[in-house]
Amino acid sequence: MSRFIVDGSLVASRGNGVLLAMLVIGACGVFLASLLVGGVSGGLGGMWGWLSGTGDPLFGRVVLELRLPRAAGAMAVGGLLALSGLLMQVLVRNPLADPYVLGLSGGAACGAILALAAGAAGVWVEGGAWLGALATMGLVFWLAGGPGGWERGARLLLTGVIVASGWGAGVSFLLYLMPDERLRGALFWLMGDLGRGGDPGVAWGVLLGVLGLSWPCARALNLLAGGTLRAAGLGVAITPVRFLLLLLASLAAAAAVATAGSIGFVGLVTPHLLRLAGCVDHRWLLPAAVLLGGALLTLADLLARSVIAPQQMPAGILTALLGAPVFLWLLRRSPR
Amino acid sequence: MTPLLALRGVALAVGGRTFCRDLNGVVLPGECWGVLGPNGAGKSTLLHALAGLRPVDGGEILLEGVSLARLTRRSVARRVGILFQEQEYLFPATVLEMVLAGRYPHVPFWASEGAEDHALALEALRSVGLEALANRAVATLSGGERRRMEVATLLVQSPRLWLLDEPTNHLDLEHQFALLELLSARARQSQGALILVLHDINLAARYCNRFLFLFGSGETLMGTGETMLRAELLSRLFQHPMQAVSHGKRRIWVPD
Repeated sequence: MSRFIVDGSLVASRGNGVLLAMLVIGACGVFLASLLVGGVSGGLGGMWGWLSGTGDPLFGRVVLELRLPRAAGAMAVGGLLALSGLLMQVLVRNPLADPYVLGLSGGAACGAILALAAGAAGVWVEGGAWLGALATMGLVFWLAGGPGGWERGARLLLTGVIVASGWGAGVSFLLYLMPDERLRGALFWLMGDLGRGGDPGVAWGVLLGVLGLSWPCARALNLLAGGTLRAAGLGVAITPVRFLLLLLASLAAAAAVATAGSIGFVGLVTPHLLRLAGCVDHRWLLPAAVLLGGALLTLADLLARSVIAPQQMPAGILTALLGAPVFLWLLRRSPR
Repeated sequence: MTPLLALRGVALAVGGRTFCRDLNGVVLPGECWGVLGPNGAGKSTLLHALAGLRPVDGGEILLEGVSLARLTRRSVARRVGILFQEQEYLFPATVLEMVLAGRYPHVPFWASEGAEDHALALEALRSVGLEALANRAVATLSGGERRRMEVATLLVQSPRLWLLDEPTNHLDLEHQFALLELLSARARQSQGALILVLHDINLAARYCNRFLFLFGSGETLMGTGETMLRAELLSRLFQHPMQAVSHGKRRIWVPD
């Protein structure tokens, strides 16, 4: 009997391994596809020809200068959103939490739009987004972290929701006042778009940093998922662990928003998809969420720029359009 | 004999209500304490404070001679285990995974649970009769099965001081006795002590050799069974007349 159960748990970890391997393959496949598909198409042959130096130089330039940074950006932003959502859901102890529940995206959008309204451009606007997100984080922690505040996830969540709605009003106000020619640039921050052509380097750096620092806390996360008080009783130092992980989750969300604007659903849905697939151990869940989130957003961006080609739409619209029905279907099907 | 736990002038209050003002006492290995009192008298709050999960509002609590406030959570969790009154489970997990969590304070921060930890978890599941449910999702368990799973987690944690908040919640009669027998045996084995919050006076009288009454007004009393289990005292504690009925050699407490 005991052998059977020990084997059962080994099967579970083997199952996680298989899942992770499948996600690696899937993410690579989606990444490759998003390099190949588009207006200038050469297929795998074109890719091979370009790599071996005999193919169409235009194809090579399109891949290298347009599609590669865009796909890399989508991969990193999707990973950041999923990671941030996963951490927030456990820390706030609410399965409905996602990177934006603490008002981070609202703060980032407000910061960026404020910079735009002031006539800034380029890096200054991104800086505004970072500043807005981090200021929101500080504000929410300060407001919710009063006496006993740390013990109550609900208070943090509620504070975040209220701050977010405050930012929403601020954004509307700024958009209302903004001259028409700047309105389009401002809308980017609300809809989420990967076609802006920014450098994905920062997003990748933050992604690897956050994953690297949160992974050692994976066992603590497993315990926190089972209840804050229970985790404390079993030896998790709640306050420092929670502070570190909330900081990392906020940084991840801020980096995602500063790179691609507000993209919904990836952060909320990705962790749940993996949990429904039976992956509940955070040692596996953290890297799996990065891969699945990255693959989902890259796929959404690929579809967003090819289904109504030559027109393009923001990937954020597509993630919500596809995410909602898929998630509902899975939820209905699931025995849990 | 060094006391496992020592309370020095401990005061506890929540939201303006004082539960105790100047609580002094020691818990020695081999003792089993019953904490009794009406609803809202601060029994759970006291247990949380003894586990170091909330600060005291005055005085200090010493665990094996060292103030709880100066110990890390991890080192406290190796010696003090607590069974909570209620638990809610928001995220999916299997029974074995939940029980394995009891090894957290014993496994180094950077390491993972090994085969030995798995064996301990399975043994604990066997001793609460849940071995067949090891791979079941927690959400599919009944209330009593969850309670036994939480006890198994505590067995795996294997502390010296066992703090149990209404351990018999959700359990049928057979499992109530089996659980208390099991826990007393484990506490004896580890030279430890038990502190039980119970509502059933007869269950408490059967297993406990020390008692702490919390009246809810800030007044507290502690002592042995002979001095504490008296009709007028229990009647005052529960605000309801109580009397003892003889049944063979045993005394059974019944409300009037």
